[in-house]
Formats: sequence, C-alpha cells, structure tokens
Amino acid sequence: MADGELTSAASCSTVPTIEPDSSSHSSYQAQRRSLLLAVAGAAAMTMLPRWLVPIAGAQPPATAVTDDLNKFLSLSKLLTGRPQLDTTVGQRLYALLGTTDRGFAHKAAQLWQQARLLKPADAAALQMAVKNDPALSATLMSIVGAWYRGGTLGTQPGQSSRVVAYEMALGNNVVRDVVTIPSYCRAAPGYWKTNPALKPGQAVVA
Amino acid sequence: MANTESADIVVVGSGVAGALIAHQLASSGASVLLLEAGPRLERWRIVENYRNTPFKDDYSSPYPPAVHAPHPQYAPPNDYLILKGTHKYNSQYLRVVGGTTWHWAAATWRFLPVDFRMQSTYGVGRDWPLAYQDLESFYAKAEIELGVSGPNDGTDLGSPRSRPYPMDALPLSWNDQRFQEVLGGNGFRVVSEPVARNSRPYDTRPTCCGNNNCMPICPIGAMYGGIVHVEKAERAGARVLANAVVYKVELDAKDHVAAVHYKDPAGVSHRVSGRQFVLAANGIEIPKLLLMSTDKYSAGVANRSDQVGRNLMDHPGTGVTFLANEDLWPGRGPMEMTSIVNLRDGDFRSGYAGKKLHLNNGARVRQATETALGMGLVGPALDAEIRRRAARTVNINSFHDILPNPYNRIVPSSSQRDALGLARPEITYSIDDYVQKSAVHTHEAYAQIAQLFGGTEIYFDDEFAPNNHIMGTTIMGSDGNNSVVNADCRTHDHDNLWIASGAVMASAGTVNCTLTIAALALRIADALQKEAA
Repeated sequence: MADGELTSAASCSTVPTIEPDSSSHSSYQAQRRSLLLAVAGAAAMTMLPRWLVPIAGAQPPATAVTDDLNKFLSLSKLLTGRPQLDTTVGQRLYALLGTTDRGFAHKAAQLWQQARLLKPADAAALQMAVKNDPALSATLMSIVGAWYRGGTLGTQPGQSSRVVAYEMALGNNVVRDVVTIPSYCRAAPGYWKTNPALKPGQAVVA
Repeated sequence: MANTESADIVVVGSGVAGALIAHQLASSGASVLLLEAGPRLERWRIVENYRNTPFKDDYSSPYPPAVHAPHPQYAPPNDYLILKGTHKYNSQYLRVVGGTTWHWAAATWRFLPVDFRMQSTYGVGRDWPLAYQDLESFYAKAEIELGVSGPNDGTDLGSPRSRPYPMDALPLSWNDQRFQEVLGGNGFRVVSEPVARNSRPYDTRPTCCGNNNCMPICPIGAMYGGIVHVEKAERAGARVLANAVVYKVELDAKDHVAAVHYKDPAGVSHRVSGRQFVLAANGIEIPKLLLMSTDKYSAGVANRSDQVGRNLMDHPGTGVTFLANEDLWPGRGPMEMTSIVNLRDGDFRSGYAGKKLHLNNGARVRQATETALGMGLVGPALDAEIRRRAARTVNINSFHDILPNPYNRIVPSSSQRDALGLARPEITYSIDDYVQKSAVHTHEAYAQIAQLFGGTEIYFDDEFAPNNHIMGTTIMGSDGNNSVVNADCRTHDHDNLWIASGAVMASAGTVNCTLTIAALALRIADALQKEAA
C-alpha cells in the first residue's frame, strides 16, 4: 500500500482528518497533526477551523464502548473481510444505521447470533446462510453498504442519506493504491501521466 | 427612498464577469460596488460540505441555497426553477460570492471565427455584430487574468492566437493518453483542452496536484474561480456587498439607469445609485431582473425589442458510458483533460449542430461501489468488482450547438415567489431538429468509440442534459429592434446599462462559454474606463 505515490501524498495532502489506526501512514499524519496543534498552541485552539480540531472522544474510553457496538464491529469485520476496522467510524455507522432503520439493532444482533452459531468462513458464507431471510439479508447488505459508502444512501422513502466517514469509506480504500479520493491530493503534480498498472517500484513520479 | 449606497460603477453579480470588471475599474481608481445576492462562502467550508454530502453527483450540494437568494438544487430538489416546454432546462448556477465558477471543469475554449458568423456562413442562427478578431486580444487578456494552461506545442484548435497560452498544458492522465491513442487513428481528433488550471505556480495560486474534484470544488485553488477576482477587486478598493438581492432597475426621465434596488435577507429594501451599471448575474437572473423592473415600462427595462429573456441557449448534452477492455483508471489527475474537436465545424452545420465531445476523467469509484453493492456482492468479490469497474469505466459527454430561438425563454413567474416575495424564474424550452439530428450522429460516434475500446455494458444516455452554459437571453445585435445589447454589451435602450454575461451571446458555439464571457467582460471594462476618461 505504501507505494511511491502515497508516500509523497502525505507531503501535499491539504487536510488532515481522522486516520484509521490500521493505516500505514497514520503515524506520519498523527505527527503532522501534533505538530500543527503544538505550533498553534492551546490558547489558539479556539481559533482553529472546526475540521482541524480533533473531534472530542475520537477514540472513546473502553468503558464507553458498548457491548452492542463491539458485536457490531466484530460482525462488520466478518462482513467486510477486514481484520481491522476503525472504532470511531464503526460507532458512527452503528448509530446512523439505527436512525435509518429502527429495527436495525435487533436485526444486527440476530445476524451476529447467526454468525456465532454457524461460524461462517467469510461474508459470502453468512450471506448464503441467511439468503432465505429477507430482513437479515437486507441488514447484512446495509452493514456492508454503510462501510463501503462511509454512510447511508437512502433508497427508500423516509430513509436518510448521510455521510459519516468520507475518506475512510471502504469503497475508497479498495482503490487507494491507484485512485485519489476526490478532493484529496495523492502525489506530486503530474503523477497521473504514468500507467497505473506499473508496479509501485516502477512508477515514475513527475 | 434615500440612497443606501452609491458608486461610480455598480456591478450586480460577483461571478467571473462581474469580478473581472470590478477589479479592472477599481484598479483604475473608480469607486466600485459589487452586489451579490448570495452569501460569502469560504473554500474550506465548501470542501468540508462536499466531503460530508451524500449527494456528490449534485455539484450544488456543497453550496446550500440561501433562503433569501435561492439557486437551483436537484438533490433533494428545491424546485426553484419552474420548468416548462418539451425539454427541461434544469440548469445549475450558484448565487454566492464568486459565482458559478466555484464549480466548473475550468475549460477555457475560444470560439471558432465562424461561430460569430453562423447566419452568413451557414444560413442558420444569428451573426454577432462583432468578429473573432475584435475579441482576440481580449481572449488573450482573459487567458492571462484567469491563468490558462493549454497546448503550446503547436496544436491548432482553429482559433487563431496572437500569443501562447500563459502556461503549458498539464501532462495527460493515462486515461486521456489512451483515449487519444485509441481514437487518434480512427477518424477522431483528440486534443488537450485549454483550462484555467495551473500547470505551474501562477498568480499566487499553486500547481494542480490532481485532487480530481474540479467539480464541485478545487480544494487548493489551483483551478481559477471568480472568487480570485472578487478578492483582487477588494484589494484594489472595490466594496463587495453580499446578501444584496437586486430586484429592480430604476430609470430616470432620460431613460438612464438612476439606481438599482436590493433587498437584504430581512426583506428591507435599499437603493444604490451610480453612474454606470453592469448586470453580471447570469442569463437567468439578469433577464428576470430586467423583466421585473416595470415601474416605467410594462415590458421591463432594456426591452424595446421584446427580446429580453428570449433566445435561451445551452449546450444540450448526451452521453455514453461503457466498460473498456483494458484498465484506464479515470480519477488520476484533473477531472477533464481532452476533447474531440473534429465535429465542431463543417458544412453540415447548415443542417445540424456542430459539437464537442469530451472524456470524463473523474473517478468512477462511487459509481463502481454502488453498482457492485447493487449486485449483492460481498467480501473479495465486492472489492474485485469495484476495482474492475473503477478501472474500466469510460464516460464521454457532448455539447451540441443550439440555435437562438425566441420561444425558448425565461420570464418572472406571475404566481410563484421566493422567500423575499420575488418572482421565481419560469423557463420554457424545447430542443429542435437542428440539435436532435446532430445527436443521432453523436450516438453513432459513441458507438464507434465504444467498439474501439471493445466496450461492454454500453449505456447511451440520449436524453438531453443541460450543461449550465446559460446564453442568449439578452442577445447581442446591431439592430435595437431585435436585440438587447450592442457589440459593446451596452444595452440599446439605456446608455449607462451594460450586460456582462453569457446572456449576450448570439450563438452558442460548441464549447464552454466562460472564456468568451470573460473576454467580453474585459472589453466592457475597457469601454467603461474610456467613458470615465
């Protein structure tokens, strides 16, 4: 993942945001943010634009992480095939899905029960196992969709469309070795002229 | 009513046209007041709005319409424009300080010389009362003001140049390179598009680093927007008044404009007097304002010809989307870099519209993700499908040259009002055979291109979509009986009223209209300076 483009991306990224702990470049970003904040000084904190101020409770204390949320995160890891997922994003998505569908928490718990019971090897196996249950199938896809979209896309009347994690949406993550996340800068100007099929070591950054 | 404000030059509308004029006149020492209906937005806020909106396909979404100065929004719809006729003119524009060039592809094309002479060359449409060579030096000046990068390698785009582009073109993306290679030998001429996007640091703004977000917002200001000249105008001494919704043009006994009247967000009316007045509030809001100003003439201001609000044009667009048989990876670099230009002109224009086709280099990841999720995929199969579609999706769109037609028009609604009690724009629009015939040919060209890429899942979007190039509604001409402004963009009826907008354009041509608007605005600025001298 940390190819030449991403390495230089950090140097011209315009907006630091919450980074996933699992990201290979989070330490650089964290340092950069610390530096920014240190320079700004505590007194100047109130002067910072909202997006530069770390969101309060971005990494909640363990006691605040509910059992339900932990189950949701475990279920999400199975459904997305990702061993690590960001807790803050998970917290936001869990809350969001609950507002979109009042029965969500219950159905998610049911899905988790199924997973515990059946011990499916992967998401596809669980999907297959619940395929005759329309409600659970829909819940499964809504969880997958939320992680890949970084939010919800209301497809039914009354459903809300909301983004809670733009750059950390897994849809973006899937291609982040090649395509910039729109509005972010991934590398030095002109990087785009090279054939992205070239291996990172072969990539020539202008 | 007492004056609230007064200035030598009063400019209504703070987009690229109004801002260029305000800047030049303020720099020459005139007192300039720039009135803008909408609020002032900061770039960082627009960027965050973009990232947080679930409606990323609606470029207006990061610019929430002000209650007191609404602009069209489609997701979710706010129904600001009342749309009638066989084709919906569901255009977008922004009512914010800096105007609609906050979001655009930054394409800065010049017209072809023949675009100014459609009637005398092809027997269709109208001739402009000025020629390409009258505008050439202003095109060149506009390219410097906006900061245009273009093909300085000798590529002939058909519009003779007195000087090179201020900046060389950015290197093409892999996607655009392949497009050029594959199409080049097969009857299509694919060129680097001139764009107001920095290929090197220019005018205190940075080099484009490919954020792939020109629409709806360039996060780093490498792409030009009208806000650049708003801020320059302010530094030169112009005053900018945001949230000032001009609703009336007041004439004096001699038919000079004496003042304009605006409402603030609380609905309180204010009067602004001045010596010269420039309307630069786009081709929908300008005619609406003129037609609403009925205190002296029931037909409105500047409307002796009955042409105000008529001849509404755009570039009706169709598109095609397909999957190529190779990985192209759109989404690297700027959103648009190349165009097909060999269909812009020819004898066929006596029978059907010329056009420009352009490749979309915007990332397709969101669409790929939605499609793959819609297929019910999960796990590695989902990831693989997203990658396949993100790498291979080709999307091409087009601009067709529509002819000015007096029945295509905008009027202030007689019944529908906005929050300030002002009429909403009502638009009646139809796309005639001249464009429809051309679109049939465009469809064939799309099919050929798809075939060249071994295309699968070919989806033709044959329904005409507007491209937010609002033109024609205060049309330029030499005869005051059938046109609204003269060759200098001065209204025939009122000698201190000028119009800086695509509204004056007498033909639509086949290319984005912003550079022509900017060139005409700079020409107005020169004329105003001479008047003052």
